[in-house]
Amino acid sequence: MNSTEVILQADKIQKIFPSKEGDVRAVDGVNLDLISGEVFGLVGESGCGKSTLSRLLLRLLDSSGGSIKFKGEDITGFDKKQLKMLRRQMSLVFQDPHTSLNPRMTIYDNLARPFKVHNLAEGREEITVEIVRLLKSMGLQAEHMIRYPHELSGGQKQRVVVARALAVDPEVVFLDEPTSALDVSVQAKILKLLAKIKDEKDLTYFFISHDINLIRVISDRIGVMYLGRMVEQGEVAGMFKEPMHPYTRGLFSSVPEPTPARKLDSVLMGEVPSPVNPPSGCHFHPRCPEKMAICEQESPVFNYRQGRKVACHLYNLD
Amino acid sequence: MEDTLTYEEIKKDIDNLKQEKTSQLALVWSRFKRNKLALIGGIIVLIMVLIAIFAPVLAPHDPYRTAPLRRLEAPSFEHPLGTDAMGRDMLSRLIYGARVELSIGILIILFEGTIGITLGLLAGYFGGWVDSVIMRLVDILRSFPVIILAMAIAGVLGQGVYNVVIALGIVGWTTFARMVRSKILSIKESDYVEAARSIGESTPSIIIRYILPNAVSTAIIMVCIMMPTALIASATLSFLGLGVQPPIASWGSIISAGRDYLLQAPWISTTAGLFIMFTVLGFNFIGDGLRDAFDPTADRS
Repeated sequence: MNSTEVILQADKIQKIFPSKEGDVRAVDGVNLDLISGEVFGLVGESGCGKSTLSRLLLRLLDSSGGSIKFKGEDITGFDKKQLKMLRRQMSLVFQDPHTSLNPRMTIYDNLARPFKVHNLAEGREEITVEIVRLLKSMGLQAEHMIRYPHELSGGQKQRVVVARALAVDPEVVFLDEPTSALDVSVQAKILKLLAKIKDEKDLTYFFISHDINLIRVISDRIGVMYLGRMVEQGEVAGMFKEPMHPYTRGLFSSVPEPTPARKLDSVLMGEVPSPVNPPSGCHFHPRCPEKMAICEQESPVFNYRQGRKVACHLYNLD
Repeated sequence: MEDTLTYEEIKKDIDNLKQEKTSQLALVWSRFKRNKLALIGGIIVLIMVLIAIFAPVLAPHDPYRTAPLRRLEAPSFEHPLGTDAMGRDMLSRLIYGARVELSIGILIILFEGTIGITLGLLAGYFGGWVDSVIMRLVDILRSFPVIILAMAIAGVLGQGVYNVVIALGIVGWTTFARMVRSKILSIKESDYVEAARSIGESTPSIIIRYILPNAVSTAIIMVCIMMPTALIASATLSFLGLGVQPPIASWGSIISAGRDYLLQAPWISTTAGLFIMFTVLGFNFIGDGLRDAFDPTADRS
């Protein structure tokens, strides 16, 4: 995978939820390039807009501003018919396997829906063969078809959820914390399975997690979000070797390490402020150990600074 | 790869498995069966329904034939539950009363269930002003005491069985609407509905395949839980003289007729009261049992 074709591109994308206390800027002008064939890891504390961003990119939520391009085509104005086609190209795996399958449908019916919706297979026979093939490639058996979701374990259900996401033969798969609801032993198996499928099918992954260690292992590039904004983005090795944004530094150093000799001076202090009334200027300034006068007034532009995309006044724009 | 797999092979495997597998309904039934109280409730209700259906066969006497000389007789071999103030056989009247009582109950449930479930669905699914209008109406109706409001409506409409049904239906649908609405709201926000959208399902398909099947159990449970309320309310209206009119026997009107003779002939009001009590108890047990059987993981609070 040495091509750097951008498959999905977001430009200043925004999502504002109106509420009684004021507008909630869940996603506040995020720029993002997803490169074909990569695993892009998105990290951030809960409530920072990770999931909302993924729903915007998938067009499951309408954005309040900005544009999204899939393979160079603007998808923000897509109508119903175009969206249906888009659903075949991008799919989503949910966090909680216990709630993401229709409990009143058998596994067969749950998995048959994508085939029926998109006419990907004709008749019961063809669909059954396709489903069995899918199940087997997920490490499940044909007999699981006639089960109901509640008869399966969490790990098995998550395999079914992954199978459903792959049924449409997508190019980009969004994984919204796909392992955080599973036991540790099951997590490893699902991750291995995901890695295997990615290589076989040449997929692009958009992997959301708050587990820094996990993101470090599986991603090619990572993005760090804070309060609706992207603060840093880059190659995984470089980011971990030398995180530039003070928030990234704090986030990474808050991960417990087996060798606690490392300094813990940059551990994050305080709480995440409310997105209803975010701090002025750089959203991170109230918690930032390196706050300067400008940080309270001006939002730092998210662009290349010293070779990496960072939104921080500590570094000059390239 | 599993390219060698043919449909026939898979089908054979699956057919073998299906033999051993129990359907979801069978599963609900097996859980229901294990619940002793639910089973007792089921038997009580079944008996009441059979009594209502076979009333002409079961009743030892004509429930309307008066015998002025044999009024207020104590239970005897000829009249197992005694006679009332007009000498009519109490057992026969109670058996015929089951017919009246249960059919009124069913009519009320049908009436309020249809309105309540439809409006609850609309409010829950569409939200916005549709939701606001329906739910404010619910709030207004619920701010009155149920029986007072039903009495007022029945008073305006006049006496009679159908007016009781209408009066109680107008008041009672609000409970259905509330329950169905909140169920729809939680289903609408669920991951599996978002998943359905993410694979490209259309709105009608989501409503039919994802939302309705998951709301059905709530509706069934609601019917069983609302039945006792409907029975008691209709009996109350009959007791107050607004519902079933003499000489037709209903349990409510029998209690009412017996209240003047509580000391001389206590069996009149008490037996009718017991019939009401057991039927209500039966439906309550079934309702609780069904709730547990449909969703064993649900909170019992």
